[in-house]
Amino acid sequence: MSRSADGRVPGAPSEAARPLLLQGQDYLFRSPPKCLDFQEQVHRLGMVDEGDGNPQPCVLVLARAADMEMNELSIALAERGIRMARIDADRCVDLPLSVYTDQPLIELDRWLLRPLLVWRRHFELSAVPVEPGTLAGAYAVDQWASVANWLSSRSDWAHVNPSRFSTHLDRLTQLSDAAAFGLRVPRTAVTTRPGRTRPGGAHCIVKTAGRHLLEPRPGVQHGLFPRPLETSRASDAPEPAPVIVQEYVPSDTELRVFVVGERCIAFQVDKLDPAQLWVDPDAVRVTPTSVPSSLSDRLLALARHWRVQVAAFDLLVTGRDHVFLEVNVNCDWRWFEHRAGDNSVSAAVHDWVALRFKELLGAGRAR
Amino acid sequence: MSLEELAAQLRRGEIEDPALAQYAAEYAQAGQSFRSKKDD
Repeated sequence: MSRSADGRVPGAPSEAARPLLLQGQDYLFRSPPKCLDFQEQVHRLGMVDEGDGNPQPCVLVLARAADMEMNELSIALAERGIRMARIDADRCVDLPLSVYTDQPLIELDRWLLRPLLVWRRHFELSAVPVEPGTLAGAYAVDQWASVANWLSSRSDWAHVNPSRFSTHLDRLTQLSDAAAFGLRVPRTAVTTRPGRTRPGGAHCIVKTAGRHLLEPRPGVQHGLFPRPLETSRASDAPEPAPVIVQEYVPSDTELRVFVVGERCIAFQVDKLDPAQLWVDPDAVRVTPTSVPSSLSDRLLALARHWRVQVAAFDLLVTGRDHVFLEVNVNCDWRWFEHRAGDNSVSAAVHDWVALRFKELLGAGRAR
Repeated sequence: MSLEELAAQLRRGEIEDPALAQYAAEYAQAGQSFRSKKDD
């Protein structure tokens, strides 16, 4: 590809003409569709004792191959003798799958399974490996969209972070709900004119109203991270889509608080720039901490209100006050654990899933 | 073999089956490369 003297591809939009959140964002991650699920491996290899032919109770996960939290969950549940089965968005094309509609059963490959607990996270349709812009590709994605939505909301299965509630938990709804529960939130605007919309003063942060990672082609993820709105940006340059503009709130530090069931597990996160979490993780300091009960009570109340059981809250600490930024239902905890040298969230999640599974198994036997 | 026994072998790094040993190596490598990736 030829480039002009300033390095740009002829005909491509200049950096300044790109959407604000795409400017200078070089974060790109390739997420290969390689199976990393322990239980799938050992079953495919025929290494596990076959059952008695009856449907095997299981935890069903809809994710993607590189969801390392779910890959670790697969091992942790295996250690407890709990079957976990997997449907990955980036490996779902041609998957041997039949779903019973009159019984809560699925046939996945050669196994007859009875999901008791279903967890959908990172099952993004943009990861389905089809050729974008083709009829056959659109067809496969549409079929998987419908079936995945049905699987993750069936009323005869229990769910972690049920989709019927969490799907609509966008960042703006999060902010209004958090404020209603007594948490301070930054003054916020949603606008296609960030150059002239500055809630709370001159210094503002721009962030995506959608996902932090965009996947224009399956397996290729681009970052969209919060960034300061330059004070010099006084023009009326329109954005092609609305973005979130928030007042910049000076803070002492930040918190990431994981809610797992009725527990709160907190980390203090010290960084210089909002995007460092993604683009320069080694510069971010993460340390386990505790939070006052006045805060944890509110976060747990919000989690109950949203009917989510595993979620991550991001907050600023300003003196003795806390400012709610966002909650992530499809949250990553291993990133924080790795930096903090602490695996308490993993342990809590594994224990919570195993306990919930056993409760559901016991309830089924009692019927 | 049971799931529990296989998982215990994996945790102890005592896998003898070549195919599963290959998986274990790939899993360890992926764990390293995905350490810097944050999805949320």
